[in-house]
Amino acid sequence: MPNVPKIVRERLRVANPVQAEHPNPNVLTAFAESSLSQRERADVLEHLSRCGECREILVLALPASEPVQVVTDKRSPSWLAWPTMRWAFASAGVLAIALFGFLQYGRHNASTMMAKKEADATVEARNEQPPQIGQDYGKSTEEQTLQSPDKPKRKAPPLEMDKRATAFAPNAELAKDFSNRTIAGPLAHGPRQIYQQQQSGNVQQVPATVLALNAPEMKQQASGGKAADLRPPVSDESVQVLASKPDVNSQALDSVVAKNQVSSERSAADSEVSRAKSAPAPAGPPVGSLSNARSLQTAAATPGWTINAGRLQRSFDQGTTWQDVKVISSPDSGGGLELAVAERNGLKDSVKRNNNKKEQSTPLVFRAVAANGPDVWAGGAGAALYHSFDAGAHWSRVVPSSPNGSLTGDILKLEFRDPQNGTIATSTGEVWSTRDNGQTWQKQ
Amino acid sequence: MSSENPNIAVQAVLNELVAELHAKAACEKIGLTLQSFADILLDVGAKYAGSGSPGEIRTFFLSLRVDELALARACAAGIEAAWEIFLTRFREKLYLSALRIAREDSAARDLADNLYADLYGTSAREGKRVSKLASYTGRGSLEGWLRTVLAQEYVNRYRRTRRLVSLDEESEEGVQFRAPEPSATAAVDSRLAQATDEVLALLPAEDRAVLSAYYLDGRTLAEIARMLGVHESTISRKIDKLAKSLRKQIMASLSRRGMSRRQAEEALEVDVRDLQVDIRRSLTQESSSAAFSEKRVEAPVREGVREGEG
Repeated sequence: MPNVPKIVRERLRVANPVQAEHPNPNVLTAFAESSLSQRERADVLEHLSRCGECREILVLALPASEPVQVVTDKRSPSWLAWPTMRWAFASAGVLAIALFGFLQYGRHNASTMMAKKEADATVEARNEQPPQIGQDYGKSTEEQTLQSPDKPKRKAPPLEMDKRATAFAPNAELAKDFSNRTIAGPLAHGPRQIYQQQQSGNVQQVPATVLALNAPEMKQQASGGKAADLRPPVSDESVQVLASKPDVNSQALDSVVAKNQVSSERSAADSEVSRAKSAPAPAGPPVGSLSNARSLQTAAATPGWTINAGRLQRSFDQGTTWQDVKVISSPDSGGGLELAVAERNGLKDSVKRNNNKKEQSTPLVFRAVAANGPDVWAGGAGAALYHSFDAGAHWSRVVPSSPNGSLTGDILKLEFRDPQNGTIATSTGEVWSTRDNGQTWQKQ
Repeated sequence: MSSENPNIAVQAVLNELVAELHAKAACEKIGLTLQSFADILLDVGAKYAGSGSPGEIRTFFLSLRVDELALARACAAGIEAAWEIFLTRFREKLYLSALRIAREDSAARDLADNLYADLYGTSAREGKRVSKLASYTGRGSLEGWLRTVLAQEYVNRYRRTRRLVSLDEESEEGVQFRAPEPSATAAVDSRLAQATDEVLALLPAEDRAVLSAYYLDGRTLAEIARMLGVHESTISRKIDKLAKSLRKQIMASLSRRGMSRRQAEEALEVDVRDLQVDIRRSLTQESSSAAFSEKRVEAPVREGVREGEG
């Protein structure tokens, strides 16, 4: 029970002299037994409020047998009394709201997050792919990037390859996964001739780009090691294994399985499958065969993005470490894009093109970043808007424009609900939106 | 006599009811005549219901416990048959009630025996015994009345003995206990006292009684609830509500008296501490309510605090 101010007690005691004479025992008894008339009861109450003596008599005269019974009888139902029940109601309400929110969130995930997360898993693979190719294949990353297919061509082959991959089914699932991965690998940045080779049915000659896809698995096994350190273990031998048809070269396949832990292999492989399917139509409905469990598995490889002091940063380990991402795009952004990932320690040298020096001299100041898996948008000062299809490996500058003019000012806010639909808010109060992954823009 | 008119009204109602009531009270068994019973009823009715309307008087009579009234008055009149019935029904209960009140066997016996003497009427006046039972009016149960009389006797006796002891107590500890009291009262801003009085005066009598019982007497919620014949949770809610509203209203009253909010807060906050000391002191000095040892007084206080925390 709360305390009343002491002054209340003081005044209750001091300022209430008993005026009338005490009620006689008859009246007090009748009061205790609630058999007084209203008027008489009020008189007695008035007296009781002033007379400690009569209160005392009243309490002393309470019937003896009742207390125990009364107390127990009255306390047990108090659990269902309103003061208790209102907390029950409140907590039930909170629970219901939380449940509703959870369900809504899950539904949201199903519709929008799925393609995003699945695709995210490949980010790592891609980032390590170019050097891998350079090492194993004798190709420079420059050549590869220059040969990157433009979008329409990129979209077509995977579907076919996917079908073919399923045709490999007689062997193990793993075989299928590997095949799929050979397709999935080059999607974003692989050299175009890979597709050509595969399309011609020359599967055994599938180049070693596949190998790069092993990188994430290797990295998972090595738990936290630097990406650069992980590459050497992947040998030429395994390149052949991966490149060849599983049924032709099953021995080699076994060796690969032995090298890689099946579980991690499987999860990464799943993500590759999902990407292969979702890449042709990134905003399409989620592929039915993909379960949420897969999404969760692949989420581990999803890079996180942030803006730190105007620099765009990326993290592959849930934000434990961040690396700067240099965004460089060639002027002819429709064609060859170029990656320059510069880690903070500077170990890795970025590949630069001459015509990008200008941009480097005045570093971009980013204000906003939005990512849907590998599909990354970054915007900043001076209407700078960059888009990457491959989790930041390659960037292209995008200048939203409409018949009435193009975007001006600093980009303050970027929002992409999914890879297709996004909005941009600028410091000049403009709002631009796209519904086709940045191909066309509408000013609002 | 001013009571003549009411008596006529009461008489009128009683004339209709007396036969019914007489039968209901089973007066024949205890040897109480219709006429003497009618006189008793007239007496009781004139005392409590004289100013009421005929309907109220009728209700009053019908609500009386006429059987117990008849028994008590028959005992008072010295009818042996009535005494036997009375002793059979109440002797044991009387002693148990006394034990509960005095909480000690010898004191309980003493208390009960003294009451027996009073009930039987050892003191004679004008050659007739005067029994305490003659003052029972049937308004409550006879058993309840007996308990009340016992409690009243106990309180009165305690007060008498305490008066005798208090001189010694004062010489030992009275100085250190009493000295701070006047200064404490004087230190209280008169505006605060006025504001508090004003707020308290606006409260219903029942609320004030509850507050006094809880905060002054240190009664438990269960005791207060039974005292007022309501549910314990009702008292709990009432006190909770009162404690909150009192603070607000006193603050408002203080601000009407020209105190700033901060001043008012300080004036109220100064004294919430030392709850136990305060109550004990107020009880020991308030002779009427200090019916218990200090130990007994502390217990309800602690219970109150515990409930406050819970």
